[in-house]
Amino acid sequence: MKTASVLNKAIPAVFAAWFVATVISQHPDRSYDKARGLDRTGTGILIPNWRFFAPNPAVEDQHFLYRLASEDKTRHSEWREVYQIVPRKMIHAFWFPGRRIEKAVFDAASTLVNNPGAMTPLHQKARESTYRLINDFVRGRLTPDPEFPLFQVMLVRYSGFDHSEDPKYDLVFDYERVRP
Amino acid sequence: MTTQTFPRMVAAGLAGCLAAGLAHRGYATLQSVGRHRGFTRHRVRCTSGNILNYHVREGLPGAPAIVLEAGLMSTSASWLLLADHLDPGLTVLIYDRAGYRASLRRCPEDYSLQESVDDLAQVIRDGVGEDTPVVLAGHSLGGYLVHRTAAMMPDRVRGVVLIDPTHPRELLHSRAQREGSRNVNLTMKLGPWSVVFGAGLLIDKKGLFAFAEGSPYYKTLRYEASTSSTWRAARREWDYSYAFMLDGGRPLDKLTVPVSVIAAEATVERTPEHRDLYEEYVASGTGGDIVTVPGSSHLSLIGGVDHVPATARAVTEALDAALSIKDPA
Repeated sequence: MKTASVLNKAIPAVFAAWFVATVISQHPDRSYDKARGLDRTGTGILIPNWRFFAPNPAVEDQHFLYRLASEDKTRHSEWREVYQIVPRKMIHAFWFPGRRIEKAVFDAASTLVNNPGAMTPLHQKARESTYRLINDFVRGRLTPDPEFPLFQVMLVRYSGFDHSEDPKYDLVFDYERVRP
Repeated sequence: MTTQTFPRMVAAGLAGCLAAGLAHRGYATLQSVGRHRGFTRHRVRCTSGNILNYHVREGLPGAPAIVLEAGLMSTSASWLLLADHLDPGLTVLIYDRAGYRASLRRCPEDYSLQESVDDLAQVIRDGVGEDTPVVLAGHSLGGYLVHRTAAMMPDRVRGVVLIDPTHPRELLHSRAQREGSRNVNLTMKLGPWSVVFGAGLLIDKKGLFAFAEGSPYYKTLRYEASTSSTWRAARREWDYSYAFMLDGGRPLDKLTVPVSVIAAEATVERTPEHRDLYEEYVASGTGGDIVTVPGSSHLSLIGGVDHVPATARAVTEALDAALSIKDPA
């Protein structure tokens, strides 16, 4: 009877402690992972990871801005939008082929901004190709100016509907020639 | 066992974690507002409205003064180990920018780096005698701030020493820096709120402060990472600096004094392009040099027991070289 009574309390206590350790190990920033040190297996499997979309669920549009620059990079044009995000209408729930460009831009941007610390050859190759792809995309759409032979791209996140919110600057690219 | 046992235990566990986190934050805050041993504390109200604390270790009468400016998310405490290795005859002034430790931010305007530059100039005017030769030294973002301050005070400043400084164009110049700064951006975005709820206790500080292991100030540095004020001030400065640097910053000011750079080996090895920026810093002054401290990292330069002696030697040499130039006045 005594053993049963101890078990009755110990088992839920162990599971509760495990659950609490799991909950406090879900901070989106991995610097707060101290509690994961409780998992002594070294595999990280004892404390589940629930950060499916964290820390950045897709609630914003990705925009590419560009600016033109002089040869010595001391003079710049203002930042300009490469293309406008199309305001959504009800019909877009059924038919919206224009969405493909936005989706492609979003996917390309994700390659650059997600997991920036990954430095494997595969990640580096993927990022190199994406930089080239986006630069070519912008090069084909920018309005050239003979005074500015270079351009530079910036990736910005913006909600697209809430104009009180400031855009979030994500990444600037290396300078590229307008005419390679 | 009732059906309520498990939820109750979980609730108690979570409440216990929250209480432990808040207690840790409170203790860390109390620990981080104290005085620094060997320094006298002063307070100045700046024209920006900010009320700043600065700490002075008086040197010999008539001795030159070195004013040390900390980097982002760092306070006067980050300089204590280096100050211990500087000549005791030298007057050392360290201070906390608005929002850090017990320095209060009361400026009604949105933050800009110019606010910190103006505040530093006022700290110098308040804390260093007019006839005392002054050399400014800054680490990381503090390096860029002292460079701008020196441009504002050509009549007071005799030299500038930059320790692994931030350069306003570094995000445009180096892709590695740009990609690395995105991680910092996430940390800065989430940090202030996380620490309010006591999550500072969950930060893996052993890894974060491994560079300072063995330092007598190790615990002080660790506590500061758990205080809300540190995170709020750092977030404010980061938000401005990140946009400023992504946009290309602004050209460096031309100085009429020598500018020396002390670089971390890790910085120049991982991002060799950084050397161009350091050369630009040196070229912005009338002399100076770049010295690399072997085996050092960005943070160990001023906080690591193995590297601080070499940094202190390089600072002293740069300071002597700057002061040996006859005052043009």
